[in-house]
Amino acid sequence: MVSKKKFWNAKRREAMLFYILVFPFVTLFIAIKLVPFFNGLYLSMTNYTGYNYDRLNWVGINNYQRVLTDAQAMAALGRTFLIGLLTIPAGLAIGLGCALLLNKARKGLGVFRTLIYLPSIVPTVAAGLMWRIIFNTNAGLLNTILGVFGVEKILWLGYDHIRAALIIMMLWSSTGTLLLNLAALQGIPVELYESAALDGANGWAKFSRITIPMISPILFFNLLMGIINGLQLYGQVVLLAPDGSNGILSIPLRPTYTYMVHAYQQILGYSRFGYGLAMMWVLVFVIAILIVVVMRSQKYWVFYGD
Amino acid sequence: MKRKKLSCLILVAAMLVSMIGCATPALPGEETGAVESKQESVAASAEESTEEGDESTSVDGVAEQDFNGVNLRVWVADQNPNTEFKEYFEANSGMTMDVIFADDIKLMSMIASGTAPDVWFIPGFGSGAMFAARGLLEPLDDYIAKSEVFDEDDFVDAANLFRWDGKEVGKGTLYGIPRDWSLDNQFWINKKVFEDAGIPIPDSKTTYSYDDIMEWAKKCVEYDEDGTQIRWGFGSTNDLMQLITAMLASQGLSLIDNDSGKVNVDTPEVRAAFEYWKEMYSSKAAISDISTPGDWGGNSLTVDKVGMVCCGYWFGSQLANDELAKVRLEDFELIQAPSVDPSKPSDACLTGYGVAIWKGSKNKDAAFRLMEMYLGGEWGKQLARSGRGNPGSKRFVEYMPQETEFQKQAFDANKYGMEHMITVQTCPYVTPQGLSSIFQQYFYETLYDRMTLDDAIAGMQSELEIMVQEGKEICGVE
Repeated sequence: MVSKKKFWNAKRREAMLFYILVFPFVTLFIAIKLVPFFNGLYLSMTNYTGYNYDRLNWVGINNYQRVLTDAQAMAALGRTFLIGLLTIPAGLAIGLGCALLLNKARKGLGVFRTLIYLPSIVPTVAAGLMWRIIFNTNAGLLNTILGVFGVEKILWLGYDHIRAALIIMMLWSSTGTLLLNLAALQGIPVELYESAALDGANGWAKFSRITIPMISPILFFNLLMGIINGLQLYGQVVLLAPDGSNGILSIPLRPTYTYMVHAYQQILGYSRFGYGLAMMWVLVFVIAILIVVVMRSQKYWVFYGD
Repeated sequence: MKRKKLSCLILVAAMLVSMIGCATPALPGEETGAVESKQESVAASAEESTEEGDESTSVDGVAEQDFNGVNLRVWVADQNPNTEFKEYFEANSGMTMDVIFADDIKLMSMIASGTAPDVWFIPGFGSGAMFAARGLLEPLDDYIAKSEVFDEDDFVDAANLFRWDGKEVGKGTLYGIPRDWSLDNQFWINKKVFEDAGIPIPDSKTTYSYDDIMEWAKKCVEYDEDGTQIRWGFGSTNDLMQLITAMLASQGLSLIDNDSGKVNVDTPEVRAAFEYWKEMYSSKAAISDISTPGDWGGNSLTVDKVGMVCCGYWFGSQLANDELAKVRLEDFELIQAPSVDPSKPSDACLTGYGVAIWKGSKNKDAAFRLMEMYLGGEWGKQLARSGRGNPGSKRFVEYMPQETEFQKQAFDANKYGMEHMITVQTCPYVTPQGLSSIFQQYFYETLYDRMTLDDAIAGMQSELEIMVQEGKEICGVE
């Protein structure tokens, strides 16, 4: 028989301590993340409407088949991709551009950093309401400024310009990557630029051969986050909807009717929880594929210094 | 011995003080010291509500039952019942009350987990029958039959929105009792805007046509010298589905045919209604969220920026409490709901909040007691006095505000409208949000000329048929 002292040797004690320490996290992770996660997956294969939890019918993959044949869902997904294609690269460029400018700043770095970073920490709802007023046709700031230059009043929140309005609003708040970019830029050894200068490299050469490769892991991370957030676009479009004061059930005009809006409409508006959840899972799958593609691409453009 | 007597005296004095301290919380609007008038009102209420007089009646004249210690959970969508009622209820019922402000999603989660609130405050229009058809509401007929507070014959017609016989709304079992409601298609006009636009002030007891409304709305529109629109003609709290429902109702028609369980939008009347509202919005006569963010027209009415708003009697209480409007209430007037054929006036309640009991509640009797205390007795009168809408019981109509000229005008116009009230059919198989969403989406497409009316109608019809079919399956209807 193994004595108690022998059994609780240092290795076992360390292991036990590890399990005790991770126990609260693991428990919470299972309860708060995994259980709802798999419950959502289960419900996406039922006829759940929000009111019939006690009499669910198993419908298998019917809801998933329906997503793929739902013309509105597919059109909304295409629209979301289009908006993402326009806003994600532009947002990354703006974040990088601002970081480059601030990296050169000799004075007032803190002030400028705060000012430029500020839009990204303004809550989406507050930003949306503010932009609704700015985009107002009759008394909005944007039309007032454009009017000074003789531009006719534009119906920004109407069918023809709503997508442009959305992109403007999204780019305004796209400086969230600023701090990461700035930190990455400031982490580049000055010696690299000095050596390049000695070799006769001009500004563009330094930027493309030193700056971009050195901060490419951060750009890669920002790209991933941009894809994940971009495909889940919801709050901004709802806030710019014609009936924006109708809350989460506001209906955006078609050019900004994104995939998530359609999913939310199915769940909250039409009481099609099962179907809406299936839409969400399809989106998770699409995002996962894109992430895999981007991850695979990193060997061609992300520099880890090895 | 003396010490014992002194102790007794002190004890009695302490009890008296504590009794005064623990007196029932005042009813709303009641002034301190008005004990006599309260006793009178309580006595009157008891007299009204009990046929043979009950020895054991509570403060609002309702027969007392022992619900001590029961905790009632009440789901509300707005600020009513308020803290005042909560205090009153808890002090007089021996129960406690948790007010839960929640959206539909939270309610669905609570239903799923079997922890839904006992009492629900829900709109009768759309939601009443929808919840009833899904088996979520407790039938109230038996409770009402036994009640000493409620009398079924005393309920106003708006209660019909909570009736569902398995086939038709407005008939059969009652699942809810109205709290406050309005004829939501009546209009408040701003007389100053009308005068500025050269429109004769309409008679408040005449039914005008929809064409009149369009003409007035367009006439109210005004631009400044820069071409900026500064005045509109029309605003509404009703969404497009409600506006079209009201327009059809004025022709004796309905979107819903519950006999066949269909929502039918492919009719000449719905097409005409779609065209009508398209013209109203595309001509910029209608104020919208785009032109004035966050305002459906109510705020604009008070500052002379819109000529009329379609919302019903309840808005009068908002005007009376609005800082800008209350000093010039003579500029506002309630007029009748329009009709496609003005010789046949009709009006409808398109929201109508009421109170219902969750079928799964373990405290149904206690929940009904809350309904009695809130909607019957003294509190029912107070709700009527607030002017936030018509009461659910006819006997409280006399308590609606009628002191000032403004109140009298609104009361009379509202009363006139009630003579032509009809109960519109709603479809219990689709959620009101879903129905509204489909109408709104297709309306935008036609409003901006991105879709022909034919395509919009066909798209709506197709989507609605799927929705109704899904709803029927859930409700177990063939």
